[in-house]
Amino acid sequence: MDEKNMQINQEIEDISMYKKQSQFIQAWHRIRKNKVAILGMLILIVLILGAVFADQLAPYGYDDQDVMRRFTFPCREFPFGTDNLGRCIYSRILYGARVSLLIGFVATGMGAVGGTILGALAGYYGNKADNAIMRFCDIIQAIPSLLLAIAVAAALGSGLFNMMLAISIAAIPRYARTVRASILTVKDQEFIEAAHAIGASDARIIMKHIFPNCLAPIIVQVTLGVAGSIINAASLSFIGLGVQAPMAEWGSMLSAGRQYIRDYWFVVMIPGLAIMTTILSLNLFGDGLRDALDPKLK
Amino acid sequence: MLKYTLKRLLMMIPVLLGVSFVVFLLMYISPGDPAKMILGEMAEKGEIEALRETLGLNAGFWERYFNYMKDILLYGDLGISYVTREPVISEVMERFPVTLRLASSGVLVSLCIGVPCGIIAATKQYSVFDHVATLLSLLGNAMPAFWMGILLILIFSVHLGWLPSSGYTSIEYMILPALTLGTSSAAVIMRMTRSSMLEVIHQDYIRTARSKGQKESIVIYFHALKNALIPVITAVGLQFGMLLGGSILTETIFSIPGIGKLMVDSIKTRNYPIVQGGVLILAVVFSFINLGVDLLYAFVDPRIKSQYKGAKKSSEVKEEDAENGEEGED
Amino acid sequence: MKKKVLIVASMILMALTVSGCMKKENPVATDSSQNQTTKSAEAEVTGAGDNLDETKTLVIAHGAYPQTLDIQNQSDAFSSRPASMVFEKLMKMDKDGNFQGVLAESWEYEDDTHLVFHLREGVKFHNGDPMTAEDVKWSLIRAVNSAHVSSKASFINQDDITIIDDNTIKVGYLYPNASAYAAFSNAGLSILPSKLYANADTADISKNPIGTGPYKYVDCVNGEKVTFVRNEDYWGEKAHIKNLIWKTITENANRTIELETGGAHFSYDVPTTDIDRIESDDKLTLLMGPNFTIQYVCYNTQKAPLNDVKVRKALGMAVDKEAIKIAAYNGLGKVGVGPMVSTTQYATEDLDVAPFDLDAAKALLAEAGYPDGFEIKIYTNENQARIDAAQVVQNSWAKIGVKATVTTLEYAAYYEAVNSGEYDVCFFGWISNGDPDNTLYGLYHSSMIGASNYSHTNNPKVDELLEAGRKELDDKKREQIYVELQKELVDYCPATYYWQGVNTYAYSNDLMPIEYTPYDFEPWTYEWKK
Repeated sequence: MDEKNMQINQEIEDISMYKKQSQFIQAWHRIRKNKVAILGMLILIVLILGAVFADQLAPYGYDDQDVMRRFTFPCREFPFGTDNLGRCIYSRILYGARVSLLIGFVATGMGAVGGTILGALAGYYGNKADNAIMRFCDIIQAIPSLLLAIAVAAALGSGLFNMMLAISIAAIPRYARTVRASILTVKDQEFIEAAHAIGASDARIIMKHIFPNCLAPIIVQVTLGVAGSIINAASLSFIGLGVQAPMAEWGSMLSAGRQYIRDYWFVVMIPGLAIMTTILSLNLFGDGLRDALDPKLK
Repeated sequence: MLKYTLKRLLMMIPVLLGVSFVVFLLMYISPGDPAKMILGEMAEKGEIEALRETLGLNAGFWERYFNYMKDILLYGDLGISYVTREPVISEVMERFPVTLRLASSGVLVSLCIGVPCGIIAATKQYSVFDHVATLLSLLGNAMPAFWMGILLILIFSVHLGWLPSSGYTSIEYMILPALTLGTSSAAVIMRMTRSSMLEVIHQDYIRTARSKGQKESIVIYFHALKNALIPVITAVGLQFGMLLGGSILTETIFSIPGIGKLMVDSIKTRNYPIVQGGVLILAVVFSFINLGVDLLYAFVDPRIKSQYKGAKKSSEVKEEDAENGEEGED
Repeated sequence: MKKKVLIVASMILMALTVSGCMKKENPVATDSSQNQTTKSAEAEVTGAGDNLDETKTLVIAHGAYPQTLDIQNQSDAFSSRPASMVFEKLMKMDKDGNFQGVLAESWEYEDDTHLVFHLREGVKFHNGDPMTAEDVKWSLIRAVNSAHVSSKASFINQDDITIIDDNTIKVGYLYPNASAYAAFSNAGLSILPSKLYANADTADISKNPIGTGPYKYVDCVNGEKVTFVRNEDYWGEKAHIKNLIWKTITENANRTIELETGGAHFSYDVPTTDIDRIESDDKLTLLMGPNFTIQYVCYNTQKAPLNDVKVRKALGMAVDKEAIKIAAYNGLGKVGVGPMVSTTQYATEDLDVAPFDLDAAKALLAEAGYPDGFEIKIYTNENQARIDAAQVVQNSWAKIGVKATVTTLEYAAYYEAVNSGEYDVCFFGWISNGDPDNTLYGLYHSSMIGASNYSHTNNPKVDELLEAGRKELDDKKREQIYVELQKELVDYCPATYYWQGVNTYAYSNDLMPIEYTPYDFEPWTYEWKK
C-alpha cells in the first residue's frame, strides 16, 4: 500500500514537475536538438566575445595610422591587411563588432520596448486607443523604413545615438502589431475574465497573464530584428549618415573602401563578410528560436 | 467586400495626412539651409538671404505647413523643386517608372529563382539539393544589398566584362541591379514556397489524388502547386513594396535614375519639396499595394473572405484548405 | 475555378512586367545609329573612317546630373559644362590664360568703367533669331539679378548698358574691375535669346535651352543623360562629331569601368585610385594636370584658443601635408604652400610657411600658453578625401597634445555648423577661375563672414589689400598688391593649405588626342580617329 502510494505520489510529482517547467525551458530543450540554430548561437557568442574583449584581442588600436603601410595585403602581421590610412583591418573589425552589435541590440531594444508598450495599450484598451495607435503605426509603415531612417538621421544629425534612434523608430510598428495581436488572442479568454472577477488590477492582469503569451513572438522578432537593424545601420553609414570618423563601423568601412575595390579587394570584402556572418548567425538562431517557441509544436 | 474596401480607402486619408505631417516636420527640424545648398560654397550672404525669401523659408512652421497642405488639397500642386525649379510632380513621376521597373525585375528574379528552387526543395525534402538551397537562401538573405551589388560589379563588369555597371538604357543594364535586388527576396520566396509546398503535399487530398493513380507530375504541378502558390503570391505583393524602398542603395551603386536615389539626394541637399512630395507619393503607392494584397488574400482564402461575407461552405473550405503561409520576415 | 482565374491573372501580370522591362527607354529622337553597346572596340559602322564622326556618338561621363540647363542659374560644373554646349559667352580664357573673343570679336575700354564690345556679326541662335546687342544687354542684366551668378556679375551697372547699334554695346561698371574679363568669360554670363525668353522661367529655359553654341539640345532623361546634336548653322567651325551625350555616373569607380568597356569615351574626375590602371591600359589615355583647387584646414579665427595666431601657426606646423597627399590623394598633386595655387595669376611660393615639425609645434604651443594642449572640434563633410585628411591631422595633433574630435556632417548640416561659428576647425576647398580676386576675396574679406569667409577672418589690412587689388588695373601694381596679400595671409594664418588640386580626366584612344587644359574642355573640337 505504502509503495503504491509512493508510486502515485512520485507520478504526481513528476507531472507537476513537468508542468512547472516553463515554456522557455521546454523551448531550450527543443533548440538543443536543432544543430543549425546552435551553430548560429555559437557564432554569435564568438562575435560578442570578440566585441567585448576587443581591447585584449586587437593587436593595434582602431585608430593606429601609418600612411606608409597602407594597403598591405593580409599577412601574418596584419591578418586582414591594412586600409587606406594604414590601420589594421582586423583590429577595426573587432572594434567595429562593438559598434555594430551595440547598434543592433540597442536600436532593436528601443524599438521593441516602444512597440511593446504601444501594442499593449492598443490591444488591451482597444477602441479609440487602438485606432489611434494603429494609425500611427500605419503612418510609420507607409514610409519605406530606410528612407525614414535617413530622414530622421538627417533631421537629428549624425552620431551613434541618433542613428540608433532613427533605426528604432522604423522598427516600432512591427512590435506594436505583434504584441497587439497576441493580446487580442488572449484577451477574451475565460481566465482573463476570471482574473477580473477576482478583482485583479489591469496592470497585474497584463503583467502576469497576458504578457507571458506575447513574450515568445517578441523574442523571435527581436532576434531577427537585430539583423535588420545592423543592415540599416550599415546602410546609413554607407550613405554617409552614420558614425563619426575614426570610429570603426562595418558599414562605413565598406563605404570608405568602395573606391579601392578593384585593387585592394580585402578592404571591402572583409567588412562585408563580417556583416554577412553576423546576420547569418542571427537568422539561424532566430529561426531555431521561432521553431522552438512555436506553440503549435507543443 | 466593397464596404471593407471603402473603409480601408477612407482610412488611408488620415494616414497620408499623417505622413505628410511627419515628413514636413522632419525636414523642418533638419539643420541646414536649402538656399545655401542651392547656391553653393561660394555664394554671398545677400544672395542666400534673397533666395530664402523667394523660397518662403523664413516663415514659421505652421504657416509653411498650412500653405503646403493648401496647395496640395486645393490645387493638387506638390510644389517646385528648389534645385531645378521644375514641378515636383513631373520630376518624381519621371523617375517613378524607373524604380517600378527595377522593382518588377527584382520580383521577377526572385520568382524565377525562388519558386522552382522551393518546389524542388520541397519535393526532395532533406536531399542535398534541399540543404544547399536552404543554405544559399540563408546566405542570400544575410548579404547586405550594397555589398552584393559591388561584388556583382566586380565579377561581371570588371573581371569578366560581360555586363555594364551603370546607367539605364537597355535590358543589359538591368541585369545586375535586378540580381542585386532580387536575391534576398528570392531567398524569402524560396523558403516560403518550400514550406508552403510541404504543408500542401502532406494534405489528405494530395494522398487522394495519388491513390487515384494520377501521375506524380500532375499531382505536384497541378494540385499541390496551385494551392501552395497562393500565400507566395500574396507575399510577392509585400516584397514588391519592400523592394521599392530597398531600391535606394541599388540605384546609388548602379547610377540608376530612380526615385530612391532622388529621395536620398534630395534629403542631402535639403530639397524639401521633392522629399515631401516623393515620400507622399511613395506612401500612396505603398498603401494601395498593401490594400491590394489584403484584398487578394481575402479574395482567395475563403476563410478570411467568409469573415466579410458571413457565409461558410464547409466543403469548399476543406478542399481549398492549404493556406497558412508565413508572413515574410522583416 | 476562382483559383485558376487568379493564377492566370498573376501570370498575365508577370508577363506585363517582363514586357515592361523589355521596353527600351528611348527618348532620343530619330537617330537609329546610337551606339550603346557595352563591348569595347565597336566595329565601324561603315567602311569609310570619315563617317565615324557622323555615326558614332560621343559619350562624356561626369559625376552628377545637371541641376538645370539654364546657364545663368546654376552653381556647379555639372550643370555649366553640359549647358556650355548650347550657350556661349562674350569671351573665353584659353589654355595660356589669355582672353579670346567668342561672341565678341573685339573690345576696348573707353574709360576705367566703360567697356565697349564689338559683337560678331551673323551669329544666329538655334531657333534662327539673330544675336544682337539687345540680347547681350538682356542677358547681362538677367545675370546681375540671378541669385546664382550675381556675385560674378555684380560689378556691372545694369542701368548703364548702352546699345550703340546692333553689333556694338557699351557696358558700364559700378567700379573699376581688374577681373572683368574673367567675369565675362564665366559661363554664368552667357548670352541668351531675349525675344524667346523674355518671360521665361528657369525651368522653361532648362527644358528647352536655345543658344548660339556648336551643339543643339535634343533631349534628356532625368537623372541619367542629356543628348545634343551638332549645330549645322554654327557661326564658327562646326563640331566634328555629330551626336553627343552627357551621361551621369555618380559612382566614381564606375566612370572608369564605363571607359574601359566602351560605354563612355571621355570621363571627368576619374578617381585617383584608377590612375595607374588607366596609364597601363593602351586603350585609354590619362589627362592629368594642375587645376585651380586648393584644399585647406580652416581655423575659426574668432574662437579661443584659435584666435591666437601663435596657436594657429603651431597647429599648422603639425599638419603633415605629405602624409595627407599620400593618404587622401594617392600621392597625386602638390602639397599646398600659400593661399593661391601655383596656376593662379600672381601666385608666389616665396612665402614664409613653416615646415612640418612636431617639436617646434609643441614649443610654439607652450609659448602661447598651452603646454598641455587642449581639446578642439574638427568638422568635415562627407567627402572621403577630406575625411581621410581630417583623420591624418587628428592623428598628428594628438602627438602635440591637441585632442581633436572629428565630426562628419553631411553637406547641408556642415554649412550651417560652419556659418554659425560653432566649429573650431573645418576642412574646405576652393575652386577659383585663375583670377586672384576670385581666389581670395570671397574667402577672406570681412563682408563675406557668414557666407564664404569660413575662417571668419576680420583683418583690416587684408580687407584693404583685397579691395585695392580688385580695382587696380595696372598689372605690375596689381602683382605687388597680391604678393603682399599672400604674405599677409600667411602671417595671419587663418588656414593651413595642404593640397593643390589636380584634375584627372581620361579618354578613349578611339578619339584623336586631346590636350589637357585647366580651363573648360571643348568637345566640339574632338574627332574620332580615322
